[in-house]
Parts: sequence; structure tokens; C-alpha cells
Amino acid sequence: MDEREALILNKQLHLDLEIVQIKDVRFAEKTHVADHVLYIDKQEMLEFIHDPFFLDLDIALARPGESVRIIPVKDVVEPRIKMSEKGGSFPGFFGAVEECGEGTTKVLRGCAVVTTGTVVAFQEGFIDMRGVASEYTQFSKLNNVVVNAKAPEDSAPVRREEAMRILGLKAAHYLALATKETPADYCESYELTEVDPARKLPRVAIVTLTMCQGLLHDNYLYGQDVKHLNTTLLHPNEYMDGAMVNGTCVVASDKYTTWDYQNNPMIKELYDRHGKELEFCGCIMTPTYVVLADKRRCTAAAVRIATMLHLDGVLVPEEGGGNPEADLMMVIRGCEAKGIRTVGLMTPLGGVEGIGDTAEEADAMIATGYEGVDFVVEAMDTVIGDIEQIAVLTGGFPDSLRPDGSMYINILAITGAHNQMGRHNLCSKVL
Amino acid sequence: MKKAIHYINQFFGQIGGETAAGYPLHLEQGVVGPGMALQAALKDELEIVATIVCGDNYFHENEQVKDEIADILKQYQPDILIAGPAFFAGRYGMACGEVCKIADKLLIPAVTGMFEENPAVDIYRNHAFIVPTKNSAAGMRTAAGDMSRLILKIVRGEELTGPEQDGYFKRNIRVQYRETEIAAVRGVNMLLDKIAGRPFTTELPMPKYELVKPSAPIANLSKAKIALITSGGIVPKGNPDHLESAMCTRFGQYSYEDDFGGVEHIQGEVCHGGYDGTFCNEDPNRMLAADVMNELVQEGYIGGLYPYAFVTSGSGMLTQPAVAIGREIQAIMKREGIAGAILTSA
Repeated sequence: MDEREALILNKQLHLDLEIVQIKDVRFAEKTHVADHVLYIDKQEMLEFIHDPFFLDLDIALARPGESVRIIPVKDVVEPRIKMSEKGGSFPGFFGAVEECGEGTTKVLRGCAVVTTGTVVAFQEGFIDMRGVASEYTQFSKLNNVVVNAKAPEDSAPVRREEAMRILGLKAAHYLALATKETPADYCESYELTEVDPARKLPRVAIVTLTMCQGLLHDNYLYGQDVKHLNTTLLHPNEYMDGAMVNGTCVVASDKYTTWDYQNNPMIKELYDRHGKELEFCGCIMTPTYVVLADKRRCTAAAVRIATMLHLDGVLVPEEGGGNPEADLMMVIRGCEAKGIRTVGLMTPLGGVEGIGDTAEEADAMIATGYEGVDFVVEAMDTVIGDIEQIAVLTGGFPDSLRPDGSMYINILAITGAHNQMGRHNLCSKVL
Repeated sequence: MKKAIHYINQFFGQIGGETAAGYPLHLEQGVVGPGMALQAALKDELEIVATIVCGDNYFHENEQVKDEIADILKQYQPDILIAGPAFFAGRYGMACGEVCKIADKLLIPAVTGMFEENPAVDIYRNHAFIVPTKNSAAGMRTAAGDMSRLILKIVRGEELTGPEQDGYFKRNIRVQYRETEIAAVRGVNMLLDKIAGRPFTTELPMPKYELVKPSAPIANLSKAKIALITSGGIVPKGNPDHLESAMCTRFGQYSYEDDFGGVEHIQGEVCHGGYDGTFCNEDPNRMLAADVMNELVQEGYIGGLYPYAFVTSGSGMLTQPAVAIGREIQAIMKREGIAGAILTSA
């Protein structure tokens, strides 16, 4: 049997991630990777990402352990690219959609593009490369290529969001494209291999609640605004291949950056246990709208798909907080009514109750931290972006910034601190 | 040696019973009454340097007592405040709770002891470590032992493991901590346990919300004065009261005429951090439709529009402040003879 016949027989999406491990990032004459160092031709990169919308664009580097603060952070993106001729990074934005989730993808692991500059809306966050805040986010451990963009002050937030979003994707695409031929350090293969039904392993999926509330709370699937979509079944490999892109300006600690979609810890955990303790059956992408009729439509569809897949259980991580707890509870109620067991994941809001909606069936919840944590973060020697904006960010206060450059903040302002896909070991309890 | 201040009432201060309840606040050096049993249990790790004695009635009838206690705490800078134990005594319990709250505000940890049915337990549990005691002073010896154990743990700076393990009533304070496994692993484990019918413990027990019963319809709208309330955060330009953009704890009351420049074209801005304010900044009447309400008044459909808007910002607002805000607005509405309100939100 040759490879092609095997594939046809298998009928599974098979994705190989060729990982290039990046341990440092520096500016140089030519963009390339050598000995785990990502060298960047700044001028060439600036030309590639040029967008006349912006008044000014600059690129800075921020490495783990450096005394650098990036504020406000719009998005974090991992450079990835398909190795085929079409060679896209984010299908629907850059590259063909047909091969998403299969074939070979090159990954620059250990580095990321971070977009900053003019604040788009209140709900952006910050990343410190050392100190107290760096203990709360994985983005402090990456070699960050920071794109600092100045948008015209009179431009509409929705236009700024779009321009910033595409800027981040384009910057990551540039880095991946320019280093595409770098030999991989190792390869990871992802395939939902067939599981013998006789083993009766529990069939499990993720109901990926995906924010699409409008007014700068949107995500993009294959370039499509999720708020024009119905609930959709996705293969986990599609997330790894950039099918979902972040466009939200929701609370920084619990939003999913594009990097979070590409590196989903829950997908990884389910893959690790696939064929051993459970059968991973996919991701039910469920848009979370603001209008009740839409919530009903999408959560009912999620329950229907879960039923069609004969699932035994679903994990339901929330995106954002507050309003989407209604969707979370609707999915939990609907699935439990069908005998599909549920575990919800969310970051409790302030106080004892910790949640905006409730259901008796929600008897298995994971608390991914606590929103009501305030503390002081140290001053950093270098600020990329605009530190004054802490005054208006969610998690910042008008008097957050102190004369010595330290900031009194709420944890909500730290980008990625409360990842509700379960990236961190944070939890909370009532004492 | 670390030091403590102890608070007791006139009875335990050996001044007298009910007839001495008006005894004014006074400070004694060293231990008095139950302080002796406590000091014995605390040994030489913590010294009760002074004891505040105050009559129960005097405490509740004289507002300045709280300032005097705060001044004493500021002067002595104790490592911990101890109050009572108050057992099942109502007024004494409230006084002990209040003294703990004063200490808590000064970031001084506070420990008291009470019987579980003492009403002060629920009122002050988030300001103090309240150690469960018997319902009368016959339980003094046990209470002194239980309180001392917790007190020493706190002043030593040892990490507390939880209300049950450390022996105090749940304080209703949520704290963040680190688990050994990441949340994704915990979630998958919990799901597999749930599917298999194995025991598991939720990390977030579901709260039970009080259901609000809607009031009866307004009989005659054409005579009714109506108010606008919004959680959409429309404030006068510059947000003069600094309403918080998220987790707001307050509300503003703004005059359409004086603060917003008239009902037709409200001059204001969005302080709510949870939505894109572009459209409401362009035209705040989109959130606070005083213009439409005014038309209804002109048509005679409603009796009148209350000339002030009640404004707060609902992004991530907790139930407790929301209820408090609601009660305050309700009181104003009753006082002002407002028959009903329209609530708008983001």
C-alpha cells in the first residue's frame, strides 16, 4: 500500500508541525534563523508590513528576563506557515484554505509577534518581560518581536482594530515566510487516529465558546467574522493551522490571543490522552452573541452536534467573562439534559459567587484564577508602546501609574493571565 | 515580642452587667478579664499590651468611639487585634465585629470568637477571623485555646489552609492560588471522573440568586413620574465622579438640564469598559433615551420624566454592590414619588 492509498483508507486529517526552536531574537542584515536565533532585517520587515493607514510603524525586540514592558497589547501571534507551494499562514487572510489542518506546517516556537501602539479600546493589556507580572503570563517567556503602530487619533476604533489585527498576522507571516526553509529541530504529528469502539473509551469534545459580541468583541474564522456564523464543528488541527484569529478587545487576562488559538492547551491535553483514556472527537466552535435568540440558536446547535457525535462528555471553556456565562450555562444545561457530561472552565469574577449566571447542572466547574486580585508591578527600564494608557485599560486605574514607573494594577490587565482553555495552574477558592 | 490589643465589654471588663452598659470607652494597660486566659495560651510569643474596655450601649450610641479605637490602633501598631469572645451576646458581638472591621481597614488582622448563631457572624465574617465558640461564657477556656491557636498561626505568618482546617467561620473572601496541575489537565480529569461516575469536587459551587418578583403594573401611566436608570455608563463629560469602567461600586445621579445639557442632545461620554463606546459617545441618547421619554411626556403618555438619570457602569459588576446601588436608588425613587423606571444596559 503506498502513502496515497494509506491516506485514503485512513480518512483522517494528518498534520505535521515542524518545529524550529527559537531561543533569541536579534536585528541583522538578513532575516534568517541560525543556531536557534531569529535574525530580522528590520527594514525589509517594515516594508513588508507597511500599511498606509498607520502614521508610524516600528519594530522592537523584547526578550525573556529583560526589563521591558509592552503596553497596550493588542494581539500575540506565533509565526507559522504551510510548507506547500501555496504557503499560507492564516487561511482567509494569507494563504489557501483547502489544506488547513493537514500536511506540513513550519512553526517558529519560542518567539511571537506582539502588536502594540495606539489603544484600540479599554480592554487591552500589558506584558512585562520580568518581575511580578511575568509570573502570570506565558508571553513573558517568549522572544517577542513587537510591532509598534501609531494609528491616526481620529480613526474609528473598529478600523484601528482591523488594521492592527491584520498587521500582527502579516508580521508573523513575514517572519515565517522569510525563514521557511530553516531545518526543523523536531516534528510533532497530530491526527485523531481511529479508536476501536470495542474499547468503549469516553468520547469527548471541546465546546469552544467563541466571542462575537460585536463592538470590538469579535473573532475571525477563515477570515469570516464569527458573528455571521452558526455553530460549526472544527478539527483541532484547524486551530493549529491559524483558522481562528483573535479580533477581540475583551479583558486582557481572559481573552484568547491568536497565539492561544494556535497553542491551545486543552487541545494538547486531549490529544495526549486520545486513544489512551478517551477519544477526542473535535471542537464545537460555538459563537457567543449578545442577543438571547442568537445564544439559543448557537448553544442549541452545539448540543445537537454533541449529540450527533455521540459524545459522552464535553469541556466548555468560556471566552471573556460575565455575559458569556449565559451561553456557558445554556450549553451545560442542554448537554446534561442529553446525558452528555459537562465540565465548565471560567475565571470567577469578584466576590463569593464568582459567576454571572448559574445552573444546577453546572456541578463540575474549573476555576482558572480570580479576577479580583490587585497588586503592584515594578517599573521597567524600557516601555514599548504607551504606558500612560494603563489609566484607561480594564485592570488599570486612573492613578495606576506611580511616579517611579511602577503600576498598581488588577490582574485583568495582564495579557493571558487567566487563560480559560486552562493554560495555567491558577485556581481560586473562598476562605 | 509581637503585640496585640484586646477589646472587651463592660461585663468582661468587670465593670458591671446591664446597668454598666453605658460605661465609656477606656484603655487599660496589659490584660483584663478574659485576656488572662488568652495570654496564658499565647505564652511568650505575643503580648496583649493593652485592653480596650467599653460598655455595649456606649459603643453603639456614640459614633466617635470608632475614631477613638482607630486612633488607639494607629498609636500602638499591634500585630493583631483580638476582640471578645462574644459568645451569643448580640450587642457585644456587633461591637466586636465593628472593632475588627476598624482593624481590618487599617490592614491589622483581627480575630474574635462567637457562637454560630450570633447575628454578627454574618455581618462581620469578611472583616475578621471569627472562631466558633459555645453559646455562653462557660465555653471561655475552649474559646481561648481555639482563638490562640489561630492567632499564633496568623502572627507567625504561617499560611492558612482554610476555614475548616484553621477553625474559623468562612470569611467569604475569594483568594487566588496555584494548583499543582494546569486547569486544562484538571478539567479533563474532572470530566473523565464525572463520565465514569467517580467522585469529583467542583472548584466553583454554583451560587443561588434571589429571584426578584416584578412589582404590579403601573395603573395609570399618564399620571406616573418615570425615571431612567442605566448601567451603560453614560456620564457627564470628564466622568466627574470617576465611576469605574469595570467592577463599579457606585452610581451617579445627573441632571439632564444641568449636567447633560438638556434631554434632546445629551452631552456626555461612555465610562463603561466593556463595550465599544463609539456609537454612544456620538449620541449618548442611544443609551439614555431622555429625548424619547420627553416625547412621551409631551404626548401625555407618561406623567413626567424624573429630571435626574441614575447612572452606573455594569461591566463585571458584582451582585453585592449592585444590590446596594439598587436599594439606594429605590429609596430615592420612593422619596421622590417616582412610580417606575426604565433600565437600559450595554
